[in-house]
Amino acid sequence: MTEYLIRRILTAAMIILAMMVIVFFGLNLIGDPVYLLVDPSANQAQIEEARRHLGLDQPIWTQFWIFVSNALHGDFGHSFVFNRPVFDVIMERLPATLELAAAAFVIALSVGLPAGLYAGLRPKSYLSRLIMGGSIFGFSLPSFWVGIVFILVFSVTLGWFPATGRGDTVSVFGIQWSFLTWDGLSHLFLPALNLSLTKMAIITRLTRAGTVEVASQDYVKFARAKGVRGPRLYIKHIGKNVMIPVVTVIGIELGHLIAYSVVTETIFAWPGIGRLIITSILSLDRPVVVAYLMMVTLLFVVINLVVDLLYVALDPRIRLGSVQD
Amino acid sequence: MFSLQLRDRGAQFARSPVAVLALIVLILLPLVALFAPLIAPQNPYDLSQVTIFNGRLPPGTEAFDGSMTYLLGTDEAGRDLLSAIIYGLRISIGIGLSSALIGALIGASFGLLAAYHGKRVDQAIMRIVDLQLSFPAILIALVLLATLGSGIDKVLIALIAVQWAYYARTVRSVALSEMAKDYVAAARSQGLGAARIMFRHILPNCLPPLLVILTIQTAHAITLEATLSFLGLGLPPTEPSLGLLIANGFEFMLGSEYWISIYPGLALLILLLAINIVGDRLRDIFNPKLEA
Amino acid sequence: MTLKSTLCCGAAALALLAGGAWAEDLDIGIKAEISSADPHVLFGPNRNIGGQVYEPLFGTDNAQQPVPGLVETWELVEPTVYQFHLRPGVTFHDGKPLTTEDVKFSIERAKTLKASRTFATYLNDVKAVEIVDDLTFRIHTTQPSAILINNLTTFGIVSSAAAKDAAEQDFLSGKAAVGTGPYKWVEWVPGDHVTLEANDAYWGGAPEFEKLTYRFIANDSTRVAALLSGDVDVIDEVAPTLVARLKSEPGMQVFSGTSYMLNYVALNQHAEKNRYVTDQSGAPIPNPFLDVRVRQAVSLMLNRELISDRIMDGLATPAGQFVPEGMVGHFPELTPPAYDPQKARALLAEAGYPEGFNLTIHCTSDRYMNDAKVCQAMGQLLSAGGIKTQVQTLPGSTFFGRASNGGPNGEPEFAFFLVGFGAANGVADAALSALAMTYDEEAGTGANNRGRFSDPEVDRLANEAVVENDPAKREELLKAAETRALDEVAIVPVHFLSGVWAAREGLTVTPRTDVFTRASNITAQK
Repeated sequence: MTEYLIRRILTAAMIILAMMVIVFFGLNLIGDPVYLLVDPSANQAQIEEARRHLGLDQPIWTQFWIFVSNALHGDFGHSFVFNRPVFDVIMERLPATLELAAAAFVIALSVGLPAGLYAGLRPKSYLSRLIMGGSIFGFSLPSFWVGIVFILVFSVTLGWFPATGRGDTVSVFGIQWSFLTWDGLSHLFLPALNLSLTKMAIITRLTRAGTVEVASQDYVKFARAKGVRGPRLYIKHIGKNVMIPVVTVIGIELGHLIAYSVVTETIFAWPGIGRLIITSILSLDRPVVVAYLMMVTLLFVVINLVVDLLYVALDPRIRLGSVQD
Repeated sequence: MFSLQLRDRGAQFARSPVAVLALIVLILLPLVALFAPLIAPQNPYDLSQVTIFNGRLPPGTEAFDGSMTYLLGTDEAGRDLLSAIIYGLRISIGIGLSSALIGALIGASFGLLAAYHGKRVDQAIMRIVDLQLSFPAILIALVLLATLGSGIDKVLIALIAVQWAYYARTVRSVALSEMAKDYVAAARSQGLGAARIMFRHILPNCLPPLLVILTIQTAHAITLEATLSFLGLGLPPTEPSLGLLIANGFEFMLGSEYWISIYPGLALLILLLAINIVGDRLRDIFNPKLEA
Repeated sequence: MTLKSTLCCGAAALALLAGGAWAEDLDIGIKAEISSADPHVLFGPNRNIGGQVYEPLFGTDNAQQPVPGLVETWELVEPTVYQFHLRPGVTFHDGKPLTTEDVKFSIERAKTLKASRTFATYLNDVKAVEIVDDLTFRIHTTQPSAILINNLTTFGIVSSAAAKDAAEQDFLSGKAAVGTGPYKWVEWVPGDHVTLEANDAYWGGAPEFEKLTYRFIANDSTRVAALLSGDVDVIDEVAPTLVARLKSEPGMQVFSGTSYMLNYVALNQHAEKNRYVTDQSGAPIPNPFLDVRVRQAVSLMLNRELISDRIMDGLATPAGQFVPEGMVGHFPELTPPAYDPQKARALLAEAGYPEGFNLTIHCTSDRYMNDAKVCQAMGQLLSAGGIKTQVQTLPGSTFFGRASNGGPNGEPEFAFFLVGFGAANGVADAALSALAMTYDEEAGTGANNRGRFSDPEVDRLANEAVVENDPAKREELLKAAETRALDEVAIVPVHFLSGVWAAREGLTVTPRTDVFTRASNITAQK
C-alpha cells in the first residue's frame, strides 16, 4: 500500500513537472506578450521597461530557473496582466468554478441515475427509448451551441433565468458562494444545466448498461423469484452493484466538469478559472497559464487516486495496483 | 465464418430504421464533403467569386447581378451559406476523420505492440495510456494549442494526441484475448514473424471494436474542433469549419439574420447525430450483453 | 423555425420588464474587464472605471478635449514652466482636503510606477513638479509641450496619505482607494464585477446614481442577452450585427458615436523583398510598396464606404486621417480617398504592375470590431482591383509579436496588415509620433510604425508642432505634417470605429470618443 502510494505520488510529480516545462517553453514560442500589454502610445523605451518589469528581457533559461526556484518556495510569480500573485488570481476564481462543477454534477446525477436505472429495467418501454434517444442528443449537441440556445430561450425570450454572472453571493469562511441565495441559485441554474448535459447522458448510459448487466445475473433473478419487488429490489440488489462501475466514472467525470467549464464559463460570463485560462492563453499571460495547468493536473492526480481507493473500498475483490483491466 | 457473422450483424443493424437512416446520412455527408467543389454552387474561399455586395441576404434571394440564387442565404461577407456549409462540412469531416484515422493507426500500433511484447513494453505503454485517459480531452487540447498556436495543422495534432490512447487500450485488450487463442500459438510455432502475426492475424479481429470507437471518436473530434474554434483557439475564420461557422454566426442568433448560425448548426447536429446513432448501434451489436 | 417565432414573442415579456419603476442603481455590462485597481496602470477599462474614483487634473469633454477639473485655471510662466491653480474646497473620499502635495505625489507616482502599462509616455517631458502653495503648483518640462494639458487628462490623482507605498492589493481592498471623484470604490470581484457608490460630497454635486455596478461580460451575444433579459441597464461595445435586433425591441435604445480608435493598413516600406508579395508563380518580387504609386493605388481600391455600410453596419466612419472629428489635429479637408478602381489600375500600371501581383494580407481575428471580416472584404476589393489576395487572420497573441519583430533580423514580418491605434490624450501628435515618424529608439518615435515609413519632412514638422505653444502656428504645422504623411501614404487609414451602446428605456447614453461608459454620460429621463 505504502509503496503503491509512493509510486503514484512520484508519477504525479513527474507529470506536473513535465507539464510545467512544456507549457513554459511552449508559450514562449507563441508570441511576445509585451506587445499585447503595452499601451499603443508606448515608445520603445517604455516597451523595453515593460519587458524588464516582466522579467522577459532575461534569456529564457534564466527566466525558467527563476520561475522554478520561486515555485519551490510556493511563489508562482505575478500575472503579466493583473500584476498580482498568480496564486491569488486563481484562488479567488476557483470557488466559482467548483460551485458550478458541483452543481452540474448534482444535476447530472439526479437525472442520469434514475433515468438510466429505469431504462435498464424496462428496456422495451417507450420512455426508455426516449431516454436513450435523448442521451444521444445529450452528447451530440456541442455545449457551446446549447449554451447560447439556453440564453436565447430561457433568459431573453422567457425571462426565467438571468443570462450572466454569479448573482448575489454569501460569504462562508471567507469564500463567496452563490447557491446560498435565491438570486445566486437562479444565476447558477442555466450554466450548471448546460455543463451537466453531456455528463447526464454519459451517466444515464452507464447506469443503464450496469443495470442491464446486473439485472440479468442470477442473484437478482433469484431475488425476483423470491418475490422481492419494488424499491427494495432496486436499492438493495441492483443499486449497490450498479454503483461500483458508476462511481469510478463519476469521480473522473467530476474532474472533467472542471475542465469543460471553460466553455460554459465563456458563454455565461461565469467568473471562474475556466474563463481565466482562456483569456490568459489569448493574452499570453504565462504565469497564470502555467500555474493553472499545474494546479488542474494536481487536481486530476488526486481525483484519480481517490477514485482508485474508493474502487477498492467498494469492491474488495480488486487489489491496488492492478486496477486496470 | 467471418462474412456470415458480418451478414448477421448487418441484418441486426437493419432492424433499427433510425440507425439505417443515420447510416445513409453518414454515407451521404462525406460524399458531399468529398465532392464539395463539384456540388457547391460557389467556392466560398475564392475572394474573386464572393462580394460583400451580396452580404446577409436571406434564403432564396438572388445575387445582385443575377448570377445565382442563394438557397440558404449568405453570410456577412457575401458567401453563399450553402456553399460555406458544404465546404465547412468538408473541413469538419476532414479534420474529424483524418485525426481519428491517424489516431487509430498510432493507437492500434501501440496497442498491438503492448499486447504482443507484454511485460515491460506493455507496462510502459499502458502506463502512458492510462495516464492520458485520466485527463479530459479538452485539457490536453488546450495545453497543446496554447503551446503550439492555432491553425489547422495544430488542431489536427492536438486531436490526434487526444485520441490515440483510446485505440491503444481497446486494441490491446482485444489482442490479448486473441493471443490466448490456438491459432496464434500455431502461427508462432510455424515461425511466422511478429509483425506478420500482429497485422495479418490479430489486427483483423480487433477491427469491429476499433470501428465502433472510430465512429464515436470522429464525432468527438468534430465536436472538440468546433469547441476549440469557438473559444478562439482553433481554426482561422477565413476557411471556417462547421463549428466556426456557428461561432461566426453566433451573434446573428440573437439578431434577425438567424440563418447564418442556424443552418450550420443544423448541419453539425445532423452530422453528429448520425455518427453517434450509428456508433451506438454498432456498439450494441458488437457488445450483445447490452441488448437485453 | 420555432426559434424565430419565440424570438418575436420575447418582446412582450421584455416590455413588461422595462416598464417597471427605476432604481437609483445602475448596472452596466461592459466587454473588457479592468486589469488593475491601481489608477496608475494604464489600460482603457481601468481609466473608464477608475477615472470616476480618481479624477485627473483636467476633465475631458466627449471628444477627449480638456475641460477644467481639479485644476481651475492655468498659465504659461515660461515656455517650459506651466503654473496651475487647484479648485479650492475639493476633498478626498476620506474627508481630507486636496492639496498640491497630493498632485506632486500622483504625477511622480504615475511617471515612475513599475508596471508593464504606465503613463510614462504621457509624462515623458515632465522634468519636475514644484509646489508653490497649497493650491498652486508648477510643472517644469524638458521642452515646450503643447500637449501637456492633454496628457494631464489621462491619469487620476490619488491621496498621498492613503496611496503612499500602496501596492495593487491596497487599491483592490479599498485601503488605498481614496480619490476625489464622484464615486467611491466599493469592491472588485475579479471576473465578475466592480461596484462603486456615490460620493455625495463631490465638488461637482452628488451624482445621479446611487450605486454603479460594472459587470464584465466578454461575449458580445451574451452581453446583449443580459440587456434583453434585464440583468443590466446599459451595455457597451454592441456588435454591429446585433444593433438591428436591439433597435427592433420596444424599449431598447442604441447610441453610437465615432471613437478615437483608428483602424488602418500598414504597408511594408522597408524590405527589399517580402515573402508575402509574389508574382503569379509565387516567387517573391521586389517590394512594390516601396513605390508611393502602389501605396496610393491600394488606398484607392479600398472602398471605405462599402466596408462601413456592409461590414460595419454604418458603425464606422471612413477615415482619411489620423484622428476623428472633435480632436486636435483633425482637418475636415483631409477627406477619405474616394473609391476609384480605374485610377488605381492606372497607378499600378504606371508603377510597372499592369497585371498586379499576388499578396497575402494579415489581420487579427479577436482585437478590433469585425477585424477578420473587414480583412476579408479588403481581400475581395484588392482582388477585384487586380492584386490577387490571400487573407490570413491570426489571434492577437501571435499577430502582434510577428507584426512587430517576426521578420528577418527582428524586423516587422508582414507586407500588408490591418491594425488599430487610439491615444488616450486625444491629440494627433500621439498618432503622428507612433505611426508616421521614423522608427528611432533613441528619440522614442515610430514605436508603432511597423511599416517603417520614414520621411525627414514629416519628422521635422511633427517635432516642431509638439513644442509650439502658439495654437494657430501649431495647427499649421500639424496640418502640414499630416498632409505630407498622408500624401506619401505612411499608413492607409480605413475607418474610425464607432462606440456603440444600448440601454433600457428611460436611459440616454451620450457617446464619448474614448468609448468610456461613465455615469456622467448616462442620464435617466424622469
